[in-house]
Amino acid sequence: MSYKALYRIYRPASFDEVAGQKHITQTLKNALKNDRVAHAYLFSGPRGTGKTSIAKIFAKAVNCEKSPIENPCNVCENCLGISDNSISDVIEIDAASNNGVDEIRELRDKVKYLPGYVKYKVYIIDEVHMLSTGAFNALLKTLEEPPQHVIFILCTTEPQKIPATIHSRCQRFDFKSISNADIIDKLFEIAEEENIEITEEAVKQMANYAEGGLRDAISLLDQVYAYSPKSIDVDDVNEICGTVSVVKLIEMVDSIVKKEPARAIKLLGDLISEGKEIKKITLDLIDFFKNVLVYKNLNKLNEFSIYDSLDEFKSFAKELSSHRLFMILDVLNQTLNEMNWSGQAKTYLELAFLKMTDQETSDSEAMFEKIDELKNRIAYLENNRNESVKFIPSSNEVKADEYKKEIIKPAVKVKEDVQEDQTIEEKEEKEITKVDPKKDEFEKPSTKEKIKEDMCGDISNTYDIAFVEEILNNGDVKDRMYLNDEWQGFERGLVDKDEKYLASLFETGKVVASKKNKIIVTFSSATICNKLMVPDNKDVIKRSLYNKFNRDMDYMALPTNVFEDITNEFKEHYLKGEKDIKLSRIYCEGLKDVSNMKSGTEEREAKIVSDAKNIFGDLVRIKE
Amino acid sequence: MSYKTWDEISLEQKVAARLLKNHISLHRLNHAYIFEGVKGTRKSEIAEFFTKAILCKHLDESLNPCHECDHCQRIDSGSHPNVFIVKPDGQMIKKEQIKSLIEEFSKTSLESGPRVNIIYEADKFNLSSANSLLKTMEEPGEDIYQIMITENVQALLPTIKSRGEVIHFKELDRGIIREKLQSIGIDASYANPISQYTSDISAAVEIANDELMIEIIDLVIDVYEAMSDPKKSVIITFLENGGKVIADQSRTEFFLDLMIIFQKDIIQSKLKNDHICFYSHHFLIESLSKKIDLNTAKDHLEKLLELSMRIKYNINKILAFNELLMVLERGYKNATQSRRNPI
Repeated sequence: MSYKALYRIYRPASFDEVAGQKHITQTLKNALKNDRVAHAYLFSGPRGTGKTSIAKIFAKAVNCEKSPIENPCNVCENCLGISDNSISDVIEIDAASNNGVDEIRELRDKVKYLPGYVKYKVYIIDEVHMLSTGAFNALLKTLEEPPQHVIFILCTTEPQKIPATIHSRCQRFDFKSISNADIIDKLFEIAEEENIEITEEAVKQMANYAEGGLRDAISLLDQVYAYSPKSIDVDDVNEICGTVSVVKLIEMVDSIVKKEPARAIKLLGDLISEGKEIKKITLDLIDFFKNVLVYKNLNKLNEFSIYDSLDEFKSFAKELSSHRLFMILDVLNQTLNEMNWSGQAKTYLELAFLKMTDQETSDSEAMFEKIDELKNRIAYLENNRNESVKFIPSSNEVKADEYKKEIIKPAVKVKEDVQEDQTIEEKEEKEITKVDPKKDEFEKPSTKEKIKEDMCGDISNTYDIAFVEEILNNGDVKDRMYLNDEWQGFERGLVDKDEKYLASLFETGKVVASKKNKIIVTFSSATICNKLMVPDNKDVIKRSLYNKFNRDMDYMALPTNVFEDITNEFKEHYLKGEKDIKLSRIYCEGLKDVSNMKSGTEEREAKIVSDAKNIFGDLVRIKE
Repeated sequence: MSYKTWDEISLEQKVAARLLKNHISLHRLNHAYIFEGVKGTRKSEIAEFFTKAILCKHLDESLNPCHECDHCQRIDSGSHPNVFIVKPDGQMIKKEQIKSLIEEFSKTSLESGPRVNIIYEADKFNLSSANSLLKTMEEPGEDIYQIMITENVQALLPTIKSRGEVIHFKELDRGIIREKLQSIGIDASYANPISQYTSDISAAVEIANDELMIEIIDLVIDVYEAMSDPKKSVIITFLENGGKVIADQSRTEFFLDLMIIFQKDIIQSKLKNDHICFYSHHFLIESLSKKIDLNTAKDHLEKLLELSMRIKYNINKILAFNELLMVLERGYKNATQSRRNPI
């Protein structure tokens, strides 16, 4: 007797031996036990998942002398006969080479004869997707109502090619790819039976390579065993499959992470002269980086992955930013794509190494940070400018020129700041000092405001200075920074259009001080503040704040310049060493007491009025 | 030039040789093999040798077939009744061919002993012929072995692939090709780039014996020399001798591939790797690599690769090359100018 491939020897002989496919074996077992066997089955699924094997077991089980029985006994005459093909009532038809109408007609003619030895005639039609349309249709009638003694089992890897009329006449079973765990178990089982010495890593690598096909996995075991009959370790598997050993892979990844293209290219050269395929190397790299990314985000790995136990792996996950990982994966994927169309595979991979290790592009993360910073500065500057420009008409017009100068000066300073890349705290100090020269200019108009204060009315109901005092005296810098970092996405979860508008308006603000549940947010104009302080609107914002940060927060919206005045005053007191500082009341032309207002039309009207005032100044007369 | 011993094979295909030899020594012959590897890996010669090893009754201690007995000689002359050969009939392997094959295997053989079926260019199966082979392939009769030979294993049906034992043939080591070329009297300065260009020995020898191809190698070096020389124009250098490059598609691709190899040498020298292919011109390469930074060199390589993809289509080659060379030249000459008078 000549040698038989392992996967043929270890075809399962009972349902319990089948790897995976619990959902199918259980159903079939129950059907057999209760004697509710259908007349036609359709097995579909990828290669190497057990379709033909289960069909054969099923054929044995229905015909076993001890039936009805869950599993074939494999000892009775019938079972043995079917196993060694001496009973001609179980008929395996290769539909791929018998795909014509004539062959099916012949089959149809023979169906009506009673079985010779056993209870049922079982037709196993393999690769059934290859039947021609005519053949399928010729089969239809027989398949719908075959004689009592006939069971059809159709097997295919491509169920979508089978006509719907066939589908609807069969019980369909979808076979799943076999999980790595099942494959690993099975391989160990066979290795033990065959007395093959094999390491666990090697088995994992095989299972990975087989991609869900048990037959592939067992063939591979066969092959590797022939390659090194004494004992098998993971290097042998790598050599046969052309996969890259984990050690080499890690070295290569390391050289990419550390941005050493020369080393990476040299390693690639070594691997190629060892006989590895470039495409496989690329695929392995992609797989590795994908796993790093998964690990980075989930902090765990697929338990059958071959990398898990390695410390280097964890350090890569730490070292690489998500940005860079995505960049690397993009480059590799593109490379893989280009390889398919070109004979220059090696050059493309070398080029990819250069790209991945490129200093500039991979520093993109730092770039993003810088851009964010700059954006903040610009927003800050624009806020300042708006305020000052708006201020001009309401104050002494002769001073306009001086204002402009002041506007330009801080802008230059800011540029320097960014270049010097200081820590945030330091910048904050500068911000305050930067404001200082303006202070003199502001003072004059503010004295004017003091006169107007009575005209504006008491706004302490809405803009209560006690609220500000409390926060400023007990400020939490870290929380403020955190809030500013996360300051976006308030619209999420809101449905109403007006509410969304409010949220996006609120998003333009900047958190300037925070104390646990209370924050101060500054905005470019007083009108916005008024709008946001209307109690109804405030409720909406509070709700979205709760959604976002998961805690109750009260806020006060203030125009930027007003808050600057307040901080200046606070600073004066603070420098004198006072504690629990009391501040003077908030006053500003634009701010109003909105505590009794409703959102909607009234508010809008108020906005119109205040806008008109902004433009025409004292000329505005309001008539009811 | 067929193989005489396993050791000869193992020089070129270490893994495959060890595998196949072990299969015979352990009596674990698989019923189906798929030999897979790029052109020039001499798969069919190894398949023939393997067939001899299966059929020959006089294997020596290291399992080499004798090459003299009845069986071996008949295999050599292609008339052994137990060896079936299937080659594509025209573009495809047709279903009729597979049918007659299956029929053949269902009968007992004319002569006792194992039977071997070799299928050349197995990626040329059409859908129905591949599918009709499936069942036979999985469980052929006793003592029947199949060897499929293909350059493109991806094109095989997954169901076929999983039924056979895929044996990967690695690309020939470039050193072997270089030695071979040098042994027939090719100068190292040409043998090196040619061995980088192709891994197929016979193709390499053909190129080395072609005057025009040798001239193209010279042209590549001329072009790069013109880049380092501020007095010369790269485009004019190319146009003076480039006619032969443009005239023929295979020569155009050869020229471009060599340009790519040269460009890679520049990058290697930039990275301080000593793996340089055009070693006899390493002074030129070093001086060029000093003139540009790594990023530009990388961009140039990208540009070259892009053109090597486009060149397969019907494009105006002269314009394409002019554009390419202009871009490359700018990289070197602007760099030198700006160094002379920094603005």
